[in-house]
Amino acid sequence: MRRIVFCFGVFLIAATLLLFFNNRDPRTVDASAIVLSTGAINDYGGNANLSHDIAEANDFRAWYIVAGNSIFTSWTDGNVWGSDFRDKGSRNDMDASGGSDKAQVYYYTGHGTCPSSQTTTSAVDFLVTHGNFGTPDFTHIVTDSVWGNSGGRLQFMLIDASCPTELPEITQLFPIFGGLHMVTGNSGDVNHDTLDSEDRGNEFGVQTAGTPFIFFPQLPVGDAWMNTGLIDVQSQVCAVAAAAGDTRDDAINRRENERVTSGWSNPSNNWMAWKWVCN
Amino acid sequence: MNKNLKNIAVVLSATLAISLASCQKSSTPEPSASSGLSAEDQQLQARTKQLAVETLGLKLEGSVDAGHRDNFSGLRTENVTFTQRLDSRTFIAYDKRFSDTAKTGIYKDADEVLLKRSREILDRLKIPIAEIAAEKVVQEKTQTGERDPKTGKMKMEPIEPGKKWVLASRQVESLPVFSSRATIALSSNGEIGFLEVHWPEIPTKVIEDARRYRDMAGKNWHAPALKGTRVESVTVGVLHSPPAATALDFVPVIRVIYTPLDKRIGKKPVAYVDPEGKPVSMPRVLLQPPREDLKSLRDKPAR
Repeated sequence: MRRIVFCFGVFLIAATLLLFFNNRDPRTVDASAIVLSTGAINDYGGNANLSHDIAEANDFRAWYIVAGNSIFTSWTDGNVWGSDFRDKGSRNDMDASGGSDKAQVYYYTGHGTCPSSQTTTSAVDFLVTHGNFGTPDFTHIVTDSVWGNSGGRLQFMLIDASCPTELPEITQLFPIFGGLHMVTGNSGDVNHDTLDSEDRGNEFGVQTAGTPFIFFPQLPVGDAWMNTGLIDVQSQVCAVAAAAGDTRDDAINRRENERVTSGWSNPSNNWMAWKWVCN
Repeated sequence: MNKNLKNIAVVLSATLAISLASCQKSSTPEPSASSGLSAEDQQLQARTKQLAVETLGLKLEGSVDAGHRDNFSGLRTENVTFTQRLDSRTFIAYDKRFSDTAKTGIYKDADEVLLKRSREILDRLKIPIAEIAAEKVVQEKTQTGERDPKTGKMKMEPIEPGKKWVLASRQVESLPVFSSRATIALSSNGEIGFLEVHWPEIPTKVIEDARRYRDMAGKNWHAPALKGTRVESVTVGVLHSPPAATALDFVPVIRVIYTPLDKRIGKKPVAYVDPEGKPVSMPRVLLQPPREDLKSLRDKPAR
């Protein structure tokens, strides 16, 4: 009897140690399944409401679930807060109820901002929410957002919100990479903008998640966005994908080859490699 | 004591072995779908393979895993994946070597050559060339930059050309089919790197209804107002389910694009409506979407 108790005790200790060592580095993730959050906003309080973003996020999520991944949060409308995307403040991106830095992949679909022309040098990379809490609703990601830092888990920030990865501001995106691997979005202006669309997110979801059972290929995030980020957009709109890296080659490799399930460790933000394609 | 140590070692080893085994992704390949198949299934697999190899020229090296589920039939090798829909002219092909441009390079032939190849591929897939509304080549641009950690300043390298993609849109009887498209990109060796063609046959009734919508929308038709916007454009066309879908719905629509009045706001609202200005039922994606335990209200934050 004593031997059984002893063995059971050893078993528990071993299991605890194994768990501890498996989780000792939050930068290392299980490559076989990832955790996704979505934030989708149709309701802007009756001011330029959108119609398809919640369905778009539902589609995006569905492919991730079908591919065996799990969902952290899937908030819509007023439950998506501006503070979910900000690094500082009493409520921030580490909010346990929906902060964007709590999952490995965050897919945002809603309004953003666009400049009057694509040569502007003014601040333009804003996400625009209409939250019940967590104001202000305008978040300038260049100055307010840092992902993957201080215990944050976010690896891929996927933005479907018109122009928040504006090409003239692209080099200013360095600070958002606090461990973050990649960001995707669009660049345009008020006369060349993305359209409210369900198809764009559906396609991006299936191509990044991959669905082995129907032989749908899983593409690297960069390639998936290059061929889906121009769905339902006006002329001159660009799809943009940027990756951080320890070295030049590392950043390029991530931009071209990293999938959401690659399980690669977090990069530093010494280098950034980006690419874009325009309609 | 030695006996106890031995016990500890045995139990620890067993625990670790079991844990590691459960933590590892299975390295056992999926069983080939050709074993124990009906004659009908084998014929389907043969047709899918024929389409991949003979029609698209995909090179299937090594072992081939093939199968079908729902409305898809596909195959994959170590590098190539191909799938087709059984209810639509929908084809997806991808060679993962295409992505790794550092190893394989990029396609460098002129745009005209690429467009010609694209036309040939679409023709072989029996896509009606007359239905191509527009086609063009877009090319990626790539760039890298290094940040000086002390000054925060960026040293940028020159812009380099990247992959080329052919994008084709569709019309039927001058009616745009908003959901149909073809995207084709070739690898540096001229073989298909990525292909997605979604060009389903549209029921005659849907085209007739869309034509009727066009007549109605042209005669003093007023688009429904959307607060905080002005109407930018009105276009009659057809929507259908996307390529990655188990549903295949078709809907004639009047598409209204709105411009937000607040000049800062990006992403233009879009409404798909019928001639009465009522929103149409959007085409479905999955006949049986996965079940989710969705919460509708987020807890109010603590102070």
